[in-house]
Amino acid sequence: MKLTSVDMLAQRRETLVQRTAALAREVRVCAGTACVAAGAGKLSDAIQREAAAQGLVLAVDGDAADVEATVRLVNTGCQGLCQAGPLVRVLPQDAFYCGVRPKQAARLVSEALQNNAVIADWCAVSPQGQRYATRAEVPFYRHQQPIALEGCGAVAPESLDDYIAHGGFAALVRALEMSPEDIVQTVEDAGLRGRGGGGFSTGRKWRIAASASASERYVICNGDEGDPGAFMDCAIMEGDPFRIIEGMTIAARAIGAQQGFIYVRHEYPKAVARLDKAIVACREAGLLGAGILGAGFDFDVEIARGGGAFVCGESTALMRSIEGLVGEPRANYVRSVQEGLYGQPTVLNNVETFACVPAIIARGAAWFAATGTPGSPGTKAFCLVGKVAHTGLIEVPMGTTLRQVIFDIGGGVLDGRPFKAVQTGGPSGGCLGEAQLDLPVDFDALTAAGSMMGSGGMIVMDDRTCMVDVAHYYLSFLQSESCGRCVPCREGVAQFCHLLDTMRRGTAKPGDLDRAIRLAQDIAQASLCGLGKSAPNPFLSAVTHFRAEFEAHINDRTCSAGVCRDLTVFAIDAQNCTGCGLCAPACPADAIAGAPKQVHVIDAQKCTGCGACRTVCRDDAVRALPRNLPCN
Amino acid sequence: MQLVIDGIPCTAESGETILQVARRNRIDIPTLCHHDALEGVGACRLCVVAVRAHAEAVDAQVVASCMYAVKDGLQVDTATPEVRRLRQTVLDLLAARCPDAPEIQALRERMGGDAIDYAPAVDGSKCIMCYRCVRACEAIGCNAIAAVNRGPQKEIAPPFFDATQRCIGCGTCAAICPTGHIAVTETPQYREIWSQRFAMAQCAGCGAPFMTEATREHLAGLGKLKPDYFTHCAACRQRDAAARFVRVGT
Amino acid sequence: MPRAPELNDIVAKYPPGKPRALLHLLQDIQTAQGYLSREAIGAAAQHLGVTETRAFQIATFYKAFHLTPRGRQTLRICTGTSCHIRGAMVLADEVRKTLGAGPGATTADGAFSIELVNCVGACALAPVLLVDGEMLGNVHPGTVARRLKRAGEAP
Ligand SMILES: Cc1cc2nc3c(=O)[nH]c(=O)nc-3n(C[C@H](O)[C@H](O)[C@H](O)COP(=O)(O)O)c2cc1C
Ligand code: FES
Ligand code: FES
Repeated sequence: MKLTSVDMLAQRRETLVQRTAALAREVRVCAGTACVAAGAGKLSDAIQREAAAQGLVLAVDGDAADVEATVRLVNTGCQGLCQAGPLVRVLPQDAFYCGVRPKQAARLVSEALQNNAVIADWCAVSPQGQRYATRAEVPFYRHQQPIALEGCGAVAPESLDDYIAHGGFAALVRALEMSPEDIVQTVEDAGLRGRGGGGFSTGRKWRIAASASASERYVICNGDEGDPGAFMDCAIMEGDPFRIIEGMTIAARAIGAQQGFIYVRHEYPKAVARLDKAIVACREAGLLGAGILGAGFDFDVEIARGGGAFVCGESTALMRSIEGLVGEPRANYVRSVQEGLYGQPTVLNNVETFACVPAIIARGAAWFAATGTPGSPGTKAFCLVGKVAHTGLIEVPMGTTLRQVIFDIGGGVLDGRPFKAVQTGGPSGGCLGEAQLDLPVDFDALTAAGSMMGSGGMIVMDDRTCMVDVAHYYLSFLQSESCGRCVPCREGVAQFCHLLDTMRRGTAKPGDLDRAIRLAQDIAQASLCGLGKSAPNPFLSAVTHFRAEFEAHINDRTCSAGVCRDLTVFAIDAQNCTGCGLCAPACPADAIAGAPKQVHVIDAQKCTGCGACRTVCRDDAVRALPRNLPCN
Repeated sequence: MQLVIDGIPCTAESGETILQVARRNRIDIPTLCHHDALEGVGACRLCVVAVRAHAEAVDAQVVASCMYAVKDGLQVDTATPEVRRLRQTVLDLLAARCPDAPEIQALRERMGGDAIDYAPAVDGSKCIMCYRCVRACEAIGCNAIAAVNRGPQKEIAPPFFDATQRCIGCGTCAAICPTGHIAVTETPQYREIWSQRFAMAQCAGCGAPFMTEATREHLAGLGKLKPDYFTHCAACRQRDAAARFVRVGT
Repeated sequence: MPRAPELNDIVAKYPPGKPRALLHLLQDIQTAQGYLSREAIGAAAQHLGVTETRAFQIATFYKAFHLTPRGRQTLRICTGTSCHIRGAMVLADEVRKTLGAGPGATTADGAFSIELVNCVGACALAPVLLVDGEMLGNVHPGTVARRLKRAGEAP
């Protein structure tokens, strides 16, 4: 049904809210990537089958229309605690169950959905044995504050009705009442800074685009998410696509754009499908297209699929790619805000940035600015991953320290191993060590420490992570992702990668570290675009905080983390080995021998240094030793 | 507008690049990918200079002078130690990529800094990826070659690395290449370039081969040149013009 | 295989002479046919009014495109940061040993094409392999062979 006025939208919401209120309970099954891999789809099916068998009428996803239904089942986007999927949340009790199997569906339906009971023996338990009766008590969630992720994991991603019932498009209505200038001012006052990495003031960007004289303007949402270790933008696009469209529409209203594009990474087919559906639904409802909500304001959105190129996350390359050209950046001496897509003023913002906009407009600049730090107001979403106990998607107020994020939310390092480093900012960011753990999550504080906020990857590393290897990892990623246009980036990054590779292999020569540092600095200075300019960051920050490790690789040819295979052999510590027999089948080289319950032995000749045995060993009995390469 | 390059006050029009203004004022900035007749790409980064927004500004930014449009009051330094070092690095990297390109080795020696030898490319070609050939081909309107692949694998090639109808064998790409990377074989009957063979047209005056048949067709199609351009070679046309001149004089 | 009509159908979905659609059209062809043949690139270029030179340039620039036919199944090895630090490269070596083909290649029997991909959003299960759509989490080097066999048998 087409909503031709603000009043019609309000009525629609009223109807939907009443219908939702009539429901006794809602069960939210996480259908995020990790939960689906863990069997969330089968679980959801099982719940529906069980409900039917037990005579419980379920309304599924956005389909609240079934007036018979007393309980609603929503297959949501990522709920955050990916580690423990499939996740199930039951409202209004706010009960939270991890790792629910399809065969548990019967009990879930009979106890938690037919009745108001909380299934106590399924609830998460603290290490001290305390049971968390509600989700809000679980430490992983307790320290979080979702703004961009508010709807992700809560709404039915494919239902416009559900988004509206959750307050969706109320911000657009507010924006339609405001003058474009007021919208820009509100976003500027809120202090919103771009969540895509650079942290440029969003309000200022919009102001520049609005004041440039032109007949056409564009709004682009950057959903390229090139960081090889992050998925928060994907989660938002899949889990709450309407919020992005609302944010973009508000931006369009503010700068006077009529056409928008969402540039989505090609590896995200589900995000493309969801956004596509959302756009169609919005057009049908009169929330996109000509005369939005009857307000004489036209705006439409198109999806542009990326082609698998990290550099296309860079603004000028992204715009070229939308124009159907090769995604090579151009020199950024002309601001793309003024001369962007097709040479017209263009506002390009990240997915998460747009996802913050509706909340800012609906609740005001002061509300947003009250959270976070003075320089970085609001919250930031992160993918907390790597060697951390609770892997997942989180959102915390700016100013939260890295220590709080990793230890309070993340539950510390995986398997209780010692913390070594945390990487933020992806391939453009840096590694920080133990000494930097009390730094707040804040654009300027992280940059000053040699890392950067980046788009939100946060990778925790333990003592079994080698910093030389990590630096090499990022550089080899960037080498294959460089567009290849300018010499420092194309040739320099390749040479740089080669230097790091020699360190990993024990063939580096004294002086190579200094050469690498000089080359790094030169690449940063002379490259054409942001990719090259920031390429050396992962290395430079690692050298700053872990120099000794680089020197040990070069001078002693040792890798203390036991990662660099050419430098490492593994051996079993007879003291700790219980002969459990886990390691032998894990070894791809058949290098491990030992009878059950007897101490096992690794044949150093056969050992390829892969470390598979150490990963599976539960008794800390596998030691990494230097391979002692002959001197070169 | 006014700007200062290496302490020398210069006048410039808006839209000009630092390189243009510097060269007009006889200030030397080395370049590789730049060519006066072609649009800039900023690929080689040899032309980097340090700029500050105004005389009092302390923060300097390194930019490619061939791309950077001048601004009023700009302070440009073309030879700070940092700029020299960056140029050195660019040449060191290119020398490793193209061990067989004497032009690069010569430039590198001229820089005179402390050069670093990076790991040389095993299958090093002489192509420095300056895009001059691509841009020239585009300017002619043929678009027969482009930079394909990406990153370190990037190379200049015709579509599918194969013969293409778009190529007219004009040889402009080879002529504009600064390192002689693009191979051309010339015989009286044909020219071979990009693994494609083109029949030559013979000059009606002296009988020498002077352009490929395909080039002749392409140029004739444009309809902007005098008819003798397609029948006579440059030398014969010049001779005929001179003869006409003499006739008029006597 | 009835390839030619299919190609025409895909191409005809796009308005002629709209160069901007090149990337989309090539993606659609790739999705339908698994790769971009020379014929397909040529047809797309002609339809949209761009040069073959540019179409080929685009087809080689973006990683999403393949210029050679693909295996029946695609095996993706996640080499995102999380998977990397949990041993993805060791897995890649094992895959190479097990299947006799490494990243970027297709096995001799045409069963698998192997690709390295960036984070697939399942870091919690790192390291991760994807066989077509199916995700295998927490894969250890010693179990690669077994798990691939099982995944290969599943229809
Ligand atoms: C090499 C490179 C890759 C980038 N990749 C992304 C990306 O994947 N997603 C993103 O939002 N921004 C990315 N950026 C930053 C964008 O260029 C741009 O600054 C950002 O999208 C602007 O949005 P924001 O102001 O909302 O952050 C990248 C920048 C560079 C230099
Ligand atoms: S001459 Fe300026 S970048 Fe090559
Ligand atoms: S890094 Fe592999 S799933 Fe995220």
